[in-house]
Amino acid sequence: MIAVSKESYFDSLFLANKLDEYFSSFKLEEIHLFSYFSSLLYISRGNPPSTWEHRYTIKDDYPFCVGIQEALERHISVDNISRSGDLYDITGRGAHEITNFLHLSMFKERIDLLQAVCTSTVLLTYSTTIQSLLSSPDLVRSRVGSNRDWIHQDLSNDILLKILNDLGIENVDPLIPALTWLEHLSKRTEK
Amino acid sequence: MSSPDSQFLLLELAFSLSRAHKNSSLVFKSFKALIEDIVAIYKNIEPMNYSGTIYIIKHFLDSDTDFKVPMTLCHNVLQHSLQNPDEIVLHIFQEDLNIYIYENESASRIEELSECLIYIYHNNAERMILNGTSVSLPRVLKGSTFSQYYIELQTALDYYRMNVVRFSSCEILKNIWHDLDNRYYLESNGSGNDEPEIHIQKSLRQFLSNYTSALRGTTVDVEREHNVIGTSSHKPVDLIVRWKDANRVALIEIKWLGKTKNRKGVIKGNNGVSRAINGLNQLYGYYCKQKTDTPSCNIRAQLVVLDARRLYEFADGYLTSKCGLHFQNEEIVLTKASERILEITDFERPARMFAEPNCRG
Repeated sequence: MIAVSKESYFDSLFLANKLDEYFSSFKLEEIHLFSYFSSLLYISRGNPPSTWEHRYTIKDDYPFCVGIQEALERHISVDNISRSGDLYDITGRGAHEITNFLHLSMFKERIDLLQAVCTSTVLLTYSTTIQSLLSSPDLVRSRVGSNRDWIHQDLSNDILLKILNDLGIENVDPLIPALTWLEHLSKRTEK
Repeated sequence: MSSPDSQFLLLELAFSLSRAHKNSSLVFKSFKALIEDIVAIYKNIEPMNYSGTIYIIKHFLDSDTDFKVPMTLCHNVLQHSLQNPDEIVLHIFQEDLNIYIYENESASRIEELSECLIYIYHNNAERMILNGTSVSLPRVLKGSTFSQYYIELQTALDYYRMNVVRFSSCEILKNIWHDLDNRYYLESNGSGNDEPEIHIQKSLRQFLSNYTSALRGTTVDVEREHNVIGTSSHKPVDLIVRWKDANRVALIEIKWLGKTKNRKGVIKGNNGVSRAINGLNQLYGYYCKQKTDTPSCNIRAQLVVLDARRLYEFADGYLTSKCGLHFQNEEIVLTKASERILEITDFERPARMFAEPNCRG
């Protein structure tokens, strides 16, 4: 059995639980997409990308993380997540399991970031959220490059930091950069 | 911190609220908790179907307010909203998953509460109040930004109108035409499966079922074999959309306007505006019965009208744009009685979808 990292196991189940709660069900690629969005928030706080513990490539236009995918497969095999047609649902077992993790201090920062990402999406329509996130400049750049390299989030990070700097926003609740980024992308998508 | 750029509406909302309190991290924490709870509450209540005012209160420190009226546990939010059509006041707590209600509390007292984040919904507009500072939320088409179920359905129908019906860009929908190349006449051969309606129904059902990016968590059922309970057998509602995680259904009745020919090329019928009016009356019947059958469910009633009307003045065997598109922008004028049906908050205005013909000149 493949060893799944604790970060992959936790992040994938947390996001699955939240997306199920907000959008009734989810696609596996959306877990990768929201994990990718969380990593941008993590980096924008000045953290080195390597300590996020996930790296992403492009697969079918979505960001893709091998660790997250293996964790999702594990969740499906132990019935934390169940398949329903083209979509997936969190099971009662999965929802119960995630509550056991929420009190662990080791995941405190991850919870804040993952939670902020999910909360920010509630304020836009689901389709706008997905379309906006898929238009992230680093994803677009990686698609054009059509290679299998890791996605570097330097471009998105620079833009986000510049916007936050222009707005005079410093180290605040992660909900603020999450909302800022999503709004910035949705405005660009509209143009 | 400076003021955010005005294009960042959501950010402006969070900032405006945080500026109204010395402890901004407490505000953000409450803001997130409040948003989560509003989403959860709106799985039960559909704000666009509620004609009164909804107040939801979150105290920063999870304390009780200083209202004089007692707070009671709310067992059923929807039931509470139905019994109180003018106003509901809900109080939420971070650690306690229950929702509590206040009755007979005045609006002015609620808005003056200190150390609380107060969310207010009224008549398709939303705002939050903190220590006397009121901030409006970005407006959505209708209802609340936290309850997208029916809004997404409207978005999907709009997409269907523009991208499928307009040029009949769907293999199923192509079957409605007697002359697919020109799309001048619909085809009707007088029996159920040979009527345009059945093809429109199948096409819309397929579209909505596949439109999962917007209609997440829904099932779309054709109700040909499933009557709304209480109706006599032969005329069930055309489509019913159900949401898995929220007590919502949408009833969709389909009508078409225009002239039909049969297989032999004989003009058989001509459906005018009265057909749409009949459809609305029919939908009202289904709505009443559904409401009786499932009183704890939010219902949205939608009439979809495929409009294939043309002015039949030919030049060299073809319609000119002037004739072919004559009805393109002509909205359906309803009777006073029909307009009264649309005054019911659960009803959407009819979605007229014009199917364009190929014209020359």
